[in-house]
Amino acid sequence: MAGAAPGLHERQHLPVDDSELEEDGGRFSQDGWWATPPVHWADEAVDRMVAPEQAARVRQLVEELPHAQRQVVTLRDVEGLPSADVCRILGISEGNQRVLLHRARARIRRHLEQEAVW
Amino acid sequence: MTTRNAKPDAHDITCRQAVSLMTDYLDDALGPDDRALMEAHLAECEGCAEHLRQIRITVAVTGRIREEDLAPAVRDDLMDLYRRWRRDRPAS
Repeated sequence: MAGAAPGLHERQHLPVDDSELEEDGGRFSQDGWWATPPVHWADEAVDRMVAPEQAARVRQLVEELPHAQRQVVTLRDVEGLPSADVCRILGISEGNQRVLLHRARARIRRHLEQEAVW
Repeated sequence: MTTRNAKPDAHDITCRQAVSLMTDYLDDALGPDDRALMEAHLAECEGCAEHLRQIRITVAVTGRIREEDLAPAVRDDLMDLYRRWRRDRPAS
């Protein structure tokens, strides 16, 4: 297939533009398709992910995130608060909140991948 | 104003766009058109479907962290946020 996809181009409201996506940066071709498709580990790795030592590492990773990302991912994914509450608590927009959450999860996902794939 | 004239196709959005929309998708924050584009893409693209599974696992693993296990500085920061929020929010 040639060129970029038509679907969202006319729409112009991607919530996260390319410059915001540095966490996933080099994984795509210039046209935006996977350059290196994800290694499969989601199904196989679930059991290992819940091991106590893994939980401790993920906790440490959360603690080391940039401050704003850490606040958002802690409130959303550790505390389990809905998006609207987190926006109110932090005084940020929904869009901004999701960019921070996206980056934080991307970083944790990458860490889990390094643990899962050997 | 144009209307969509065809069912969304898996290639209407790129993998990069699909990944960029995943947080919104999981929050149910996409409009119906974008959601349909996303679902058409996920149905055909095993790479993006796997990425989404991995993000779901990421959320689940992070969700197993207990607040009391967080480093004291991180917990204090959280408590500060809650306190400030309770203090500043308008009385209902």
